[in-house]
Amino acid sequence: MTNDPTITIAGREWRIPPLAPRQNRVVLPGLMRLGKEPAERYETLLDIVFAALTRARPSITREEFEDWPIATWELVESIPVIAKQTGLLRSSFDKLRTRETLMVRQAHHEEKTLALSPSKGEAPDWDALIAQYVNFLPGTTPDYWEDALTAPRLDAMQKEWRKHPPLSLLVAGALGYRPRPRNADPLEELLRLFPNGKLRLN
Amino acid sequence: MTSDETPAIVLAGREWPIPRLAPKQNRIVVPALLELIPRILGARAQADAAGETGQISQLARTLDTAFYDRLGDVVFTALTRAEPGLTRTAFDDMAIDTLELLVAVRVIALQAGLLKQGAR
Repeated sequence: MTNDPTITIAGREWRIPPLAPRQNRVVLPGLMRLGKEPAERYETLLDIVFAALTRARPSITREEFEDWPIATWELVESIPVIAKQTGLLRSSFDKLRTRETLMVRQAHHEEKTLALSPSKGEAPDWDALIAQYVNFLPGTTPDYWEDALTAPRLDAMQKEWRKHPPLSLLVAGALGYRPRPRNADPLEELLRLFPNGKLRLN
Repeated sequence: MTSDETPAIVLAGREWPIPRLAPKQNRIVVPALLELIPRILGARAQADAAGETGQISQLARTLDTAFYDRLGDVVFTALTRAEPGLTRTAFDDMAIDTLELLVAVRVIALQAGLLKQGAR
């Protein structure tokens, strides 16, 4: 028996477990898009609800879903439940703002952030987040995290890493490693290569 | 109502069942109804305020080509739930009274699930 909440779609109850990146990639931007034109709003409602249903029932196809007798009010009433199960929005769904706890501070440099630091009102960068998890937890794969990285797990891991940073982070901090800037200003790149400002010739 | 409790609408003198609609129909029906229903209600309110009675005075405030076409979209799409083989050309050629179209709106709105069962 699970404590997952349910929604009613086409007169039937559906369990909605905490969503993973595979669903949140669709659901979060969808929730932020709601409130536009009616036609677009209806399509967005369908996208959100279908994505959420596939968390517990991955075999549902969009084609069969589109043929179910789904009342419009069923779609609308399912939104607060789905929003809560993203784990990244306030459960009351009163404010579409990502939770402050998602801000992941680097252990040694409080002013810098790791892969996840969504500004308020933006969906997280799931690819960067998953890359970070694969990097910190050798042996896991991006495909695994695509279905496993729920918000409660994300929260717990970030708290743990704040207390006990992953080894790779500690080593990088100890060695003073700084990532190579991409498309950086040539002057910045020169300063990175020659931090003391001296050019030595052999 | 038809025998299996599916409501029906009358168009061109014939009964057409309107089962509960699916997203395939609702993606057209719901946005159109959200556009049309306020106009219909607004026209009724205007007619009432002007002390006019009867459907014609309400229709005169509502109907233009765009409204009529949108109404046609709603009704045709709703019909295709039970009759997927119906073509728009055949529908546009049916002898449909304008009032039949307007009366159909209520049934279609209910079958689109715009109102909860208890609120009907």
